[in-house]
Amino acid sequence: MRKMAFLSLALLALLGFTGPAIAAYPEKPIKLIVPFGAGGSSDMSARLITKEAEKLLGQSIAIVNIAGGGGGIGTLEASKAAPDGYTLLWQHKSLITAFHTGASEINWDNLTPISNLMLFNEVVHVHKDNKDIDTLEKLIAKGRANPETLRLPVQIGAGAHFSALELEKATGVKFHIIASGGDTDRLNEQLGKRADVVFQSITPTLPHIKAGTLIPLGVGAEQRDPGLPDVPTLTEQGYDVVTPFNIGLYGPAGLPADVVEKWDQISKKLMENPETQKEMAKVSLFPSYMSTKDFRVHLKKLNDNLHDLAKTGGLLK
Amino acid sequence: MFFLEHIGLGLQLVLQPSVFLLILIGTAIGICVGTIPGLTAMMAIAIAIPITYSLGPMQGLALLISLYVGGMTGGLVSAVLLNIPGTPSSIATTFDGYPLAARGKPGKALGYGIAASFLGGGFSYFCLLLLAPTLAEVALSLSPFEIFAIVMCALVMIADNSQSSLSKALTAGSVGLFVGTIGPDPIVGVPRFDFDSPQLSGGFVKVSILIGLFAIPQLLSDVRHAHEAEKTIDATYRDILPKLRELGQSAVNLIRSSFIGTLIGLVPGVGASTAALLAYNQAKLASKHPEKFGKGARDGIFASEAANNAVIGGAMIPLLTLGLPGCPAAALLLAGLTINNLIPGPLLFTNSPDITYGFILAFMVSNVVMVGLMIILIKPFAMVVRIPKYLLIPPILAICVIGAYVTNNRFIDIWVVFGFGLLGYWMKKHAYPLAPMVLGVILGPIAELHLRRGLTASKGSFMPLVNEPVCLVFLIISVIILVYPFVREHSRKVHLAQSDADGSSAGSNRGGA
Repeated sequence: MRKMAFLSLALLALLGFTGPAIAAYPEKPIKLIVPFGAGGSSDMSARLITKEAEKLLGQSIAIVNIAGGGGGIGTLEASKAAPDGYTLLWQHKSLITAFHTGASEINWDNLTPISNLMLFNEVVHVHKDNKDIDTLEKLIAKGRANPETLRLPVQIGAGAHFSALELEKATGVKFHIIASGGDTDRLNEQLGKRADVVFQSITPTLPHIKAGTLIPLGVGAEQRDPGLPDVPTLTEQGYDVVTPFNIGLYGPAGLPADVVEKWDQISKKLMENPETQKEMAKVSLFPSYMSTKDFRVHLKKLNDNLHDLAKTGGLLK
Repeated sequence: MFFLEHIGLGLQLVLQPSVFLLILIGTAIGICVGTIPGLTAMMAIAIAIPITYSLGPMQGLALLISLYVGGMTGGLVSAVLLNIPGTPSSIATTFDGYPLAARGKPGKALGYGIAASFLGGGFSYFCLLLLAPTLAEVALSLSPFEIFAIVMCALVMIADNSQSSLSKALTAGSVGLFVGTIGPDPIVGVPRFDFDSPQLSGGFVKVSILIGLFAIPQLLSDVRHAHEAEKTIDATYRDILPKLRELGQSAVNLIRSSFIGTLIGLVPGVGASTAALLAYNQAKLASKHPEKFGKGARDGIFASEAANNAVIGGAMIPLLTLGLPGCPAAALLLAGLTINNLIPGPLLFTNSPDITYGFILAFMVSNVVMVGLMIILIKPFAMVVRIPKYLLIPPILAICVIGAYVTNNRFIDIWVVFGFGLLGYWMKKHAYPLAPMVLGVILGPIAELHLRRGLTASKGSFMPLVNEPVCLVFLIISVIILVYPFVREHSRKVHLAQSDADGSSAGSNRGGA
């Protein structure tokens, strides 16, 4: 017993002397907060890269799911953590949308943005039985003639709602926006024919597009989505609707520059890894690495755009 | 022929020694996880997913499936023995499971639960195997208004006054409904009733409230009998296994509850706790001896456990045929399937029939393994009631606190446990029933969500509630359930004199048809 006590004391002393300032970052496991529940698309995207990131980092990464408030709760927890690089945040567009709708109190500039890693795209689709709107022209023509009639399910105030607002802005169609919840719920409403047009992330729609049940009318991206190479983008069809969900890495405000730089490099290497790319493609995720500098420019622009959309859509807090 | 051929190939996949071994391990771990309040099957699956990367597809899926099956069943153990539901889906099991165990028959109570779990699960897996496409159509056809009406059938149970006066039940239920509204508005996501505290803006974690209300008051009242323990328990196999006669008498109840569970499983976002409560309610309504419910009725345990396990098979139907996960556990299984290049949806059965049937058969095998394991484990589990309370309370409390924390990884959730624990203790002392409050907290938000979704689709009109036939039927059932306690209150006095003489076991309860 006494031997054990002595040993642990010695160990404690040793730890005390090595202190955090001397050793190179990281010297202990890192907590990565995912502000959404386990099993969701955000959670899966984080879990895809941790194994490889652990190798590059030489430390283990613990994913901690803190769900609630449309991502706002986990974001809040991350913002309150010590800015020592041992608590990081995995977030996408909802960081900014939740701030503007009043669901969350933290925006991108209350954190230290590190880098962007990947993205997924959204597709506009209709049910195959909805013959009078099965092309983009028909949809827009009918929508313009009958404002607030075509049912478009969204999660109010979430990213896809902003995408719908962007679609409205570009096409001049006023949809009948219905509240249906997340991706699964919206797909459910479309397959159950309680919706007319859905603008949502591609992954869950793929099997139905392949089976011919859903007809894709356009992807909200600059370039065609690798998962749907035959589907033209909305931009190609003359409507400037670009709505990718960029997923990136953040830290609490005041994160040291060396930590930011280390993670920026790791992010770049991760997205260049063909194995990781292969795993990501299975769930329609694609690399879209942005360096710290580019990421911040991107966020600022995105923030202004989403703020304006929130204002026109009546979502602003 | 196509069908039988692929079932045969699927069976070969499942009965490989490595797959079977993983089912055995997964089911055992699942049962243990389900037993611990706060830990759910979902967490076990989330932790196991990275492990499945290195296993073969069938091996990995079998592990996830068996964790799910075991986790759903394990919840009944703590519900019965400690009056603390191990998972939210076992809330309704505490109503009769614990009273029966408290009468010195924990083995019998567990036995009823296991039999019902097995039969309910089995029923739903056969539905999955044989009727998946048809039932998927049913799932798709339900509108938000219809889902609201179905949830209302379970929610009106807050007016149940079998344990106290109607006014106290309704008060507790209303408090629960209010607590359920704290946090983000379900439609627009903006915080409400959060008293401007960012800590409250995300709402309470339901599991913390559940543990607080069920576990803490129970443990606090147990402290008063800290040196007591049961002397004898019924844990011989003869005591445990329900007799065929008992199953026969409850056949209608078992089938109805399994059907309710499967149906609720199909509906996205409603969940096993609703299914169990709904089935319990229907069993009570149909019973010839509703007064025995809440006092250790066999049919109460049967209804709850058959329904919550039947949810599993039901939930797999929209997942496999449409790629629509209706609950967090299903979402994780979807991830597990995707990792292995199996994309659920209309083409799954044609593209990879063998492994898809293997997937379904793995549920069935796990169901059988579950019964075997539970029968072996019943004796050690039931021994828990022979441990003096002063040795039992501290570890249970510790486990509850850990369970509340790991659900969402926030320290405040532990304070929520203690806050609601003290409230629950006060309520218990003043004869306010806890179950209506928990129902309000869990079901209130589900009902509100679907009603308000429906209202955005109908542009604010409530007419679909009476125009859609399914809505109307379920709302009428809800009204009957709501009025029923008033009628019973009236007739209770008449029964009171007779029921004094009735001290026999729940085995004499011939209700259920």
